[in-house]
Amino acid sequence: MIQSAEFHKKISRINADYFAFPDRIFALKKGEKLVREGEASKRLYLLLSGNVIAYRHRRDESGERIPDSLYQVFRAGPGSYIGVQSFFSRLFRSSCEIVAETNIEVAYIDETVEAVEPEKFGSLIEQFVPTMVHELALRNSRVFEHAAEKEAAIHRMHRSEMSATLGQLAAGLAHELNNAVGVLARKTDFVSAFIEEFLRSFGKREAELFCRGRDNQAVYSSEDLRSRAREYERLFKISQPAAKVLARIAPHADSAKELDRKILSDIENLARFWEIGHDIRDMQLAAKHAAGIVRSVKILGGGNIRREAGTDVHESISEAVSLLKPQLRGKNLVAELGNAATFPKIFGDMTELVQVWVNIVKNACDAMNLAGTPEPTVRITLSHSRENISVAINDNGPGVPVSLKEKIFQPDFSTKKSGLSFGLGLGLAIVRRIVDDYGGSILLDSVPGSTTFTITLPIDKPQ
Amino acid sequence: MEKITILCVDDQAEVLDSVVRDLRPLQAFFRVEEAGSADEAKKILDEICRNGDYIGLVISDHVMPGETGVELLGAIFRDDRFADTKKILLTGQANHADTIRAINEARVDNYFEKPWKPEDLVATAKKLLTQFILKKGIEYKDYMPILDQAALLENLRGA
Amino acid sequence: MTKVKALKGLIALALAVGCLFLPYESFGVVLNAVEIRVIAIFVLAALFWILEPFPIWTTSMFVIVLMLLTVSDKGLMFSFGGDTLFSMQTDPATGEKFSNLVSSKGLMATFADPIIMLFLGGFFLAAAATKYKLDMNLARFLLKPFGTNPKFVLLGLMTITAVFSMFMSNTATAAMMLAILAPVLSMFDESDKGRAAFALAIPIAANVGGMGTPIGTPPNAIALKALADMDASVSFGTWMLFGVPYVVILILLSWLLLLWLFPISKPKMELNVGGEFLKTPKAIIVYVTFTVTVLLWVLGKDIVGIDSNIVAMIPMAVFALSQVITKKDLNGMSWDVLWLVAGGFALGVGLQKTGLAEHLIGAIPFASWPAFGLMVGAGVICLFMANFMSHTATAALLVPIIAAVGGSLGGSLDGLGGVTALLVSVAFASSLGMSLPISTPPNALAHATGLVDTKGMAKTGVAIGIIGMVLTYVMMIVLAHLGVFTPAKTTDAASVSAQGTTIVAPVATTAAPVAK
Repeated sequence: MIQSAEFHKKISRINADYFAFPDRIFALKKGEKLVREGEASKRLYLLLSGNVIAYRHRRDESGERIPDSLYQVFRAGPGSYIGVQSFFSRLFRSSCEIVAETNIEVAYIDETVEAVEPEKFGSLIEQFVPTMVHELALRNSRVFEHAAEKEAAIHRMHRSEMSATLGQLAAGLAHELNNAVGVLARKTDFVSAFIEEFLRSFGKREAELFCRGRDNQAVYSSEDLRSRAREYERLFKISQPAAKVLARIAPHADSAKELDRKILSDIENLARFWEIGHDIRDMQLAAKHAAGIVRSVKILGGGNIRREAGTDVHESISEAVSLLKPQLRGKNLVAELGNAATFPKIFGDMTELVQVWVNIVKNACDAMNLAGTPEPTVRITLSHSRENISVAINDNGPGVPVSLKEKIFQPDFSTKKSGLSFGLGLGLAIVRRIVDDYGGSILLDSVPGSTTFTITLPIDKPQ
Repeated sequence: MEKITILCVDDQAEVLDSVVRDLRPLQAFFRVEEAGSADEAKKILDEICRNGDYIGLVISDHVMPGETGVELLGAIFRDDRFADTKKILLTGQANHADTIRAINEARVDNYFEKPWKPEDLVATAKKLLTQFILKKGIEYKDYMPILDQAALLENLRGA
Repeated sequence: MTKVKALKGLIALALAVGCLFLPYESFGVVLNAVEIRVIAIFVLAALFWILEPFPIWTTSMFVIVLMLLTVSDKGLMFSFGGDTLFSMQTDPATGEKFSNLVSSKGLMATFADPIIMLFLGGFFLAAAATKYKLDMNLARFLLKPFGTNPKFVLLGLMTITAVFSMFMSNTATAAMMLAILAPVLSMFDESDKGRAAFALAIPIAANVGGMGTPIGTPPNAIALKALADMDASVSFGTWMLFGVPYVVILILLSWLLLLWLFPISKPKMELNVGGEFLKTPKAIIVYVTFTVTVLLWVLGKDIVGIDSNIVAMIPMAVFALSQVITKKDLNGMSWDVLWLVAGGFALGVGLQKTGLAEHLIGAIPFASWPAFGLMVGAGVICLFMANFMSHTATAALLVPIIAAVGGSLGGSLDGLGGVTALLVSVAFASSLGMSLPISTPPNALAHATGLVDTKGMAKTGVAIGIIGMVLTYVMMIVLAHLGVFTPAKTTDAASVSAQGTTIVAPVATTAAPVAK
């Protein structure tokens, strides 16, 4: 828009010369019509106070008005000219219906008005050129604004639609997967039970080794295992695979010697039964693991949100962590959660809480990946007071620049080129919305190397 | 017969176990060692070197706590002691940049995506170990049943 | 080194040491310490080569070193303050230096023997041919006329393999041909017995083809060397004169045998060998040098005046100067084969120069034995051993002994072709051992394809071994009648020892002039 002082001076002179005559000033009440669409209008108005709205009917192909298709064309405030097009084009027919949005006061000129000092300022039309330009520019910028607004609205709609669809998709998928994983888990148990039974009738030692493999809980460091396996390989003159199995069965050479002598003498053969047992164990663990992920996805994707008292914050954090396992691989996760039993349960919804943690942790992971942070670490710390609980999620990534601190909570903000990785929603915007909704607060404290989001939520339902 | 070791590296115990089990057909001829991290892998490598044995092949995952697989394989590539050692990157999570680094900085001989087909992994391991044995001038006759035919014939042609 | 191998090595060593303390006098031979040491070294070499506690070429190298230390004129001795405390060179009984020590230079020279050079020349030709794809391109070119009928493709493959292995190592040839064959064989039905025919054809043809020229396989070189030492040299051209027809006949018989044992059901097959003849200057140097060298070998010194060993060095110079063969190629050659052969030569030197051969032969009345029986017996032992151990090692062990025996027989062998026929037949017998996967590297390669089982290999291997031996003797007799071979100079032993045998004077033949 042209905004020079000279231009302003010109406009002010025109307004003073032409629109300052009380006989050509009148007022309208809110809702009254200044001009009707398609009707003759030989005046050029200047809005002195109040707002007006311009409406127009949509036209069909032959140019006829479509009934009930009224839409808003523009809205104007004090200082705006109305009827510029009909007045200067000498059509004297209004293209819009102008309605007073508030009580308004308008001044006008019509075709009978003579030009003031034409020898100095030129003809009437020449004098009004700045007005026309002003008006055109105004309208132009209005159109742009309008388009941008519309674009943003569509974008917003799109994203919420997308996340809704993904949510549904995830929920559907989770349901299907849940069944499949359930079958796998159950059938593994059946197979395991059958093998055990069969082996018992087949040979005591085979069955024993099978069960030892399946029920193996001992966790040894791989270094221990290796050195022990090497020791057994030499000591008992057995093959490397058999020695590895023996190393897991017997924690030291003496306990290996104490094993049933028949087991030791036939370890090459029996090792396989231990391995099969161990395979069954791995299958059971994998099924359990998969079931956990499916449950988390279901929680996130399933849209039925019901906030209620007694929601477990601990549980929501472990759901979030298991859901983010792929993102957290290769990173250190330090969770200082304290005692789950004594930690207050809050009024809230599991899905929403999980969404909050997932989005913050995921954001941290993405930032650290992008920056290639060495020894990336995510630290989750829980604390509470009488009224509130606080969850602090800290990462040692590059940090959020001061200029972006507000922006990152806006729906369309992203530092990532390709947005869709998990499609859980709108990232930090969702966090902000949910936390606001709970009557909680988000504190962002960021310097390079340490970024902490502290979410504080009230324990009880906000009044 | 020389002691030639295949070293498998993965931080997920079950996955590591599967890799080792898939390599069972090779265990009559090669030792198979397993490591849960790059650090541990390096310790094993040093140990085997001290014993004067060969590291024929390293199969490593990429995403692991601590050093990544690509970094580990890169370190092996730059280490004179392992100049002929073959390297396989076995991963589900390497992005484009990692893959480029794996080729440029670690000269991996093969790239497997998880989940892998056991028979493909074994065939590739055989091929690479055959090349290793021939390159090192180890008596190949001892390994005849396990060697990759095409690689062997290709090498003997020039003999 | 595994325990089994260590055990084998120890057993061999113990037996060899035991040989030092045998009561030879009671066997009717008088031997001095040097000769007994040679016997021990011989036994050690034989056991090392049979049991293979070490790669066979290392045994060869060890044999040479051991001989230098114990039976050479520069043998091991310890002295302290001017007094000799211990010496391998002096007889502890008399305190005098042994008179039958071997020249250390002579032992070392075994590695630079003209026949080693002949072989090295062959290596240069083969390396250049492989490097400039002459082998592959020739294979493609030569295979074309055999069409697409699998039976004739099989014959074509055998022919080409045989021809190549006359100039290249049997192993390299087999490896190349199996590589060409592998993609085609995978298209055969699992049930098609023909797959075995193809897989077997390659090692058979590679082993048989090696007999065609002196450089085809190391046993030929070892026999040639023994003959040269007895002034009964066989020229390159002469060897090919009987070797090539022999290969042709044996390949044809093997082909028929394979078709009979493993009928091919696939009606049509096509071998695709890619590429085209290179036309770069270096490639052309290779083609020309190859052709000229082979021509010079065949024409022999009767026409061009240079013998085949010297001819072999021409491509070495040409390829080195033109950088067809680079330092890396040179370093990559099969020096182990040359060491293996040199070890065999050294054993021969030890046997002859210490007088051990003379003494042993003096003790055993070989000359009274039927000459033909001896020839067949030698061949059978050789064939048997070659099935279980390296062909070269077999020849390295047996050729020196048989050469000594043959020399003692004098003229009684002449009707069969003399000592030349005897040693050639021994060389052939060592190449015919091919009934097991471990018999030869080509067999091992074919077996490793998984297309042929040990039983199938044994059946054909034994059959071809027997057919080949019969064919060898028939041919030797025919050649003797044609007067192709030079009669050997009989050793002194023969004339002094043979009790109750007539000594027939060498019959001069016109076919080849006696050297020296």
